[in-house]
Amino acid sequence: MADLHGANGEHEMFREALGAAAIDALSDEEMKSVLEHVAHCESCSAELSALRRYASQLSYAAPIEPIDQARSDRVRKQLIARAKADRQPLEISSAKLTTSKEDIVQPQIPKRRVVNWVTAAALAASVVALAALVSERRGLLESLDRERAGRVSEVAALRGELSERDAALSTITGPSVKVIALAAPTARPVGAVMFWDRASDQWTFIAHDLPRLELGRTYQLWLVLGTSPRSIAVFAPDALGYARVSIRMPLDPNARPQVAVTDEPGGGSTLPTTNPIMVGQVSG
Amino acid sequence: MPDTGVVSDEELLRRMHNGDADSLGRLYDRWSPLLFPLVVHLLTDPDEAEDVVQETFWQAWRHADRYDAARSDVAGWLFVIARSKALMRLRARRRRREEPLPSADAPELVAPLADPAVNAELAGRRAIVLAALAGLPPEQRHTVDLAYFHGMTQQEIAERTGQPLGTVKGRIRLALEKLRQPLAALAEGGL
Repeated sequence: MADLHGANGEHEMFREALGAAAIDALSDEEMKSVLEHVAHCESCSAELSALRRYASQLSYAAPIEPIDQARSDRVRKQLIARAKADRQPLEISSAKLTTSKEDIVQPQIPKRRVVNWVTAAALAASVVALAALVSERRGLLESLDRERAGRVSEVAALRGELSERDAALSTITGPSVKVIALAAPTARPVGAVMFWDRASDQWTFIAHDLPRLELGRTYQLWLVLGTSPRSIAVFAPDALGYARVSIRMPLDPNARPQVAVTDEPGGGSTLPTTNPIMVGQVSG
Repeated sequence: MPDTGVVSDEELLRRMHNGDADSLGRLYDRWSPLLFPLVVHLLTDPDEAEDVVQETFWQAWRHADRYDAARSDVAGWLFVIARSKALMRLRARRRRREEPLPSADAPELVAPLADPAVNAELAGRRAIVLAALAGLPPEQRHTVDLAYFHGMTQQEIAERTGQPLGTVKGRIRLALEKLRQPLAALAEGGL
């Protein structure tokens, strides 16, 4: 962050960067420099804390997007289960397993009876303590079992992800894959490619540099056979204009469809309502 | 607080620190409806967003004692944790140029907020923040939007918008100065 290391006005330059730091709009290197300064500057430290405190309120303006309730419920259930397992008693009980003779003084009672009582009491105490220990060990074991199950599940999920990625790769590289390049009719610098794996009926669409649409609008992907457009998907690119859509859809391998993308009202349309932003056709 | 008006967020954290898993559930019910959309919006990947939301509440569970009321309210604390985790993933993904596959067959979606009391309080807070943002000049509002809700750095915003980096920095700085009064009032005193 060269501009923050100038000899003159260094403090002011760091101070001016605090707003960006508060909303994490600095690169890693810039953030490191700012935090190093803040660590030694009381006024900047206080200002960054204040900025962060109120900037966090921006989250209330996050776009209201519907969430998958089943997903949310699943996360809640997992959290509660993890929390309950997490707080199982982990310390081994400090209860005494034996009782020494010095702990028990009963001079009024005949010695033989004292010895018997002491033995019984010690045995009872031992049994209770042992039972508590076993119970705790069982709780610990169950907790570890749950943790192990969670890890196994994570490994399975990672394997599944790897498998999905392999599958995705095969759908864009196999001998049965047709590549359809989409170009924009206008001079806008956007472009996209559709991979059609005719063997698996898998369609994979990848686009770069898509401009942001107005609020309430969405991109919609179409397959046009003759003059009949068929909606494939609606999609939204990320902040950098990148989008990828993967869908399985059977089609005659000898067909020569067109692929088009239009700008539609949120949720998509049954038929295109605007001219295509980009279009492409399967070549012979 | 939104769901009952009886147990505060701070009290829930105190109970969580003492091992009360049900309080974690209540905190989740209260704030996940707001955290999920924020994180989904940043990451555009529901699976990753699910991980981040779970990690956020797990961190709150494990480190409830680290919450500092002098630094933020509980919601702000959760926002910062969630956003920080989401940005870490987003930027790592951008560095690797790996992007998620959008689901072509999205599950049925439902409205996120079922509790009218939660709706009312969140809607009130949301209205204040949106009004504050609406008071910004469009170019400042757009810059804050790209930074806060799309996780872009100043440099990325400059590249994306074609504006000089200095202009982007200035817009963020001015915008935050203008937002200070209304948002600080919200952070300090609620509605």
